[in-house]
Amino acid sequence: MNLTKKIVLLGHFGVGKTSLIRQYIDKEFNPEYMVTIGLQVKKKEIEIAGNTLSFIIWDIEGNTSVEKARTSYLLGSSAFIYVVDLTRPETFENLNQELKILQKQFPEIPVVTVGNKTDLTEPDMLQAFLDKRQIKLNVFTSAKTGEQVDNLFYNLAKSLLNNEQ
Amino acid sequence: MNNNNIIDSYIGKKIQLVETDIKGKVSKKSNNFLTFNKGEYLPEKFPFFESIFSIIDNISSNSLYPCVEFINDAGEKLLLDVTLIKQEKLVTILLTDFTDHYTQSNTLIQEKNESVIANKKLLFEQALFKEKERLTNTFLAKLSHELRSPLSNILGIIGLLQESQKMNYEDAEMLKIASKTGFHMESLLNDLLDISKIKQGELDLKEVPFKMYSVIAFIAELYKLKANNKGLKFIVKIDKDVPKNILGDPIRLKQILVNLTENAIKNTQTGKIKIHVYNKGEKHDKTLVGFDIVDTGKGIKEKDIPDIFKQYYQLENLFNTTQGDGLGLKIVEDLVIKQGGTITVESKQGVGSTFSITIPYKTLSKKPQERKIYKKEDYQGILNVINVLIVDDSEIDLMILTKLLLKQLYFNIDLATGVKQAMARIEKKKPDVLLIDLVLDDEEGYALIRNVKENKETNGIPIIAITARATEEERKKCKKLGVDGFITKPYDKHELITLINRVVRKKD
Repeated sequence: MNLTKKIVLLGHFGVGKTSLIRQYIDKEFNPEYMVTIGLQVKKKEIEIAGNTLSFIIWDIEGNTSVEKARTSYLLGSSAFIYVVDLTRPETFENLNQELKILQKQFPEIPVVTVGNKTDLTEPDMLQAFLDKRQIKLNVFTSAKTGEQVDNLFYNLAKSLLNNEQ
Repeated sequence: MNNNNIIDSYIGKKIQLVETDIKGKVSKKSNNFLTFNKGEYLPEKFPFFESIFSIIDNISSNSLYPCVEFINDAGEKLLLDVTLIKQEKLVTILLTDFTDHYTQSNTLIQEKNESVIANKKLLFEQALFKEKERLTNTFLAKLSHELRSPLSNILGIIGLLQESQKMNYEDAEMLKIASKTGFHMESLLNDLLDISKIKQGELDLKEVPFKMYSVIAFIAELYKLKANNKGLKFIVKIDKDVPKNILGDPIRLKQILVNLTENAIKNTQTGKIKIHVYNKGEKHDKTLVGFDIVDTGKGIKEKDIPDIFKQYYQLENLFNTTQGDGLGLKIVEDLVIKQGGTITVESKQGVGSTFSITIPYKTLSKKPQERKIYKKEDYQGILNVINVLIVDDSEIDLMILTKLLLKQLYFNIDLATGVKQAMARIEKKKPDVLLIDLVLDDEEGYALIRNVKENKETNGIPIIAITARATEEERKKCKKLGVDGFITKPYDKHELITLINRVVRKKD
């Protein structure tokens, strides 16, 4: 089976959306923050159990709220990856509210929540910090070290393929 | 060139039109800045169009995608607005080049975002640091409290055994060592608790009148023999111009001097230990009192000197040495600073160390009144029998307290292990004083205190709270409930007996 799936990365500016894609596709990391203007689209094919899935990854400019993202960018997505910066609480303190907005506007589209920059955090402290704020994240990644980056996309691909079968 | 030509030329550079079928196959095109060939499929050329044409049925007839990044054949980055117009089976794509405009705004946005990130990050790091400190200190306090109850039992039983007449010399000596070890452990626990109290701002300094001479005499008495037994000279010198009567916290001053003197003796094998107290002058209506604790010991490595007052250096040291140096220096520094003073150290390996402290004190012209120390004899004849009800759910605690108090002939003891049982006995027997363990089953101790204090029949009975939770918060909570006395585990026998006598006497 050959499938093409559009996925959109959401989240505040500077959380590492572009870096995650760069690490996933080019295995590179640039420590300098470079703002993303508008939209960059990249493609990556992934083979799973004889199936080919083409991820068309939309990397959109960071916004403090999904409500500010252009609707045309989001339409037709198969999944959203909502990225937060674990070292900046303002990027995740409204996460639950953000997820509610997405759920309301795009009830059929699954959302994976990702805490990025694990290389800059202390796991125990962080978990306590998130628990206190009732924030639940699905995956913890480091675009810098590559930790869990491939797994993030691989598991998403598997899940999207399962939904098709 | 006329105006129309200028406009056409400009539009030609900035706008490009492509027509495709519903699958993205190019039928008409211009090649202003992106190159397309007739018959080629747009989805194969750009991933952006691949995703657009994969959902072409679902997108509206006129859609705008602003600021989409494309790379042209020359490898240049272009930022284009893409407008899609769907007409039946025909798709018209209008590409407008806003590269210059978006690139210029990019710099401003970059600067703005960087500034926001930097500001917020700093705040977060500060918050995280505080949170870390809080967790560490809460952990230290909890650890200290958890160890207090069992230690209190060990010391209680040792104390009872020591008073037994049946012991031979060898056994008595071994018990002395066990007792000494237990008290050393207690002082370590107190150190841990002090660190957490200081860090959490819970440590309240007292301002009471005291005599400087008494404090120094206490230290001399405590350590002279110890130093002499080790073959060390022990010299104490108080200059004549040191104020005699002072307003401050004598307990914390003793704690500072005990820590430094203990360290000095421990680290010195030959030579002397000297404590010198002197007047460093006046500042803001206060006298600066200087204390030098000088030893001729092994000294401190030069590279270690900047770290010796740090908590983590102390903690590391604590677990790396067989003797256990404790957390003393960290506490000394914290206590000195808390009192508005300073501490410095000069040391040379193989020669010795001098710890110099300066603390500003208010002085008193009048001699402070000596506190009367009550002895057993003072109470005999004044009080006949004191009826004590001990409420504790731990059998060991009950046993130790009972034995300890029964040795004083004027206590009559009754026991209860829970709130109901306690209330029944209180109402029936009206004891003279209640000793209540705060952590009866699940905080029931507080419930019992409330019951007693809210009942007209019983609210006059003095209550002493016994707890392993040696925090100021716990003390305040008890005070608010009207508790008459508060004592922490492990308690000193004499301290407990004095407290019982005091609260009972106060009632009378």
